[in-house]
Amino acid sequence: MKRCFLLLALLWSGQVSAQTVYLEKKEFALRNQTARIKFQVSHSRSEPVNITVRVKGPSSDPTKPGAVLTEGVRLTPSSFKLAPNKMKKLLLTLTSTASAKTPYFLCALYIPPVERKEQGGGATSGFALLATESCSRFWLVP
Amino acid sequence: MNTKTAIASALILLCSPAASFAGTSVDIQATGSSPAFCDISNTGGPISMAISTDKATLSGAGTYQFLANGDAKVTISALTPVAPQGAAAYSPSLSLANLVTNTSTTAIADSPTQAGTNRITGAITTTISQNNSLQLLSAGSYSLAATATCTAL
Repeated sequence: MKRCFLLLALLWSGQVSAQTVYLEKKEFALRNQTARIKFQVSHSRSEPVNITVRVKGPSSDPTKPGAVLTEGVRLTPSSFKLAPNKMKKLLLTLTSTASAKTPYFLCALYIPPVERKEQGGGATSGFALLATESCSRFWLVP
Repeated sequence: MNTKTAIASALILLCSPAASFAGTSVDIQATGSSPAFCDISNTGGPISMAISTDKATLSGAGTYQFLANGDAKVTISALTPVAPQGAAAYSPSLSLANLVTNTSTTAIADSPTQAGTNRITGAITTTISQNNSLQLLSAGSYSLAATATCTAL
């Protein structure tokens, strides 16, 4: 049933080519300061692309992700090539010493490939590279 | 007569369609939950920027799409510009129309919370503008990098 809803959500987002993180729950219990978080990642671009998954901690504002966490995070693989419209199932094991309900953010990052065309002769030119990242907030509950 | 009526009533009740189907009726209960998510995409990849006729601004345009099935926020990271060595002073800017603009190389800019469901298509505008007394951008190649992040709350 959950898979059907995820597929429906993916279809509903049909026109968008972005990467998406799907969390089955919004709250996860900490047991022995560790939470196991199952989630899925997809994208709907026209070809396989590299997606990087990262976890961000809390900030002073509960609606804004904090810094990328590098410690207390077990997530393999965290970067992979993913075919369009395929759900990649992943498991995050997150260690936290939080003593109160705390927001965390699970994010999927896509960086478009750079095909920079150099212009010679001192011409003034430029390009902008806008990476996009989709995050879902979840809460760890001691 | 009363006994016959009672037996007939009992037979009618037992043999009525409702009674016949009662044993095969099924309660159908469908439940489920839709996972909260948001998507943001830069639909065109790298954005080329061209110099203005007054030689004061490089600008480029792209398109973004933002989709969310519940409350969400969009942020633009601090901008990372690269300019030719020794370039005259300049100011970068990156804007997602109707959502958020960032002109800072040190701070994140964030949109107000986008409440409820949203499906927005808009323009990405990037500029590198001169910020010097001669009102000119130095010659050479410039680049601007940033990350647009949506957060499903």
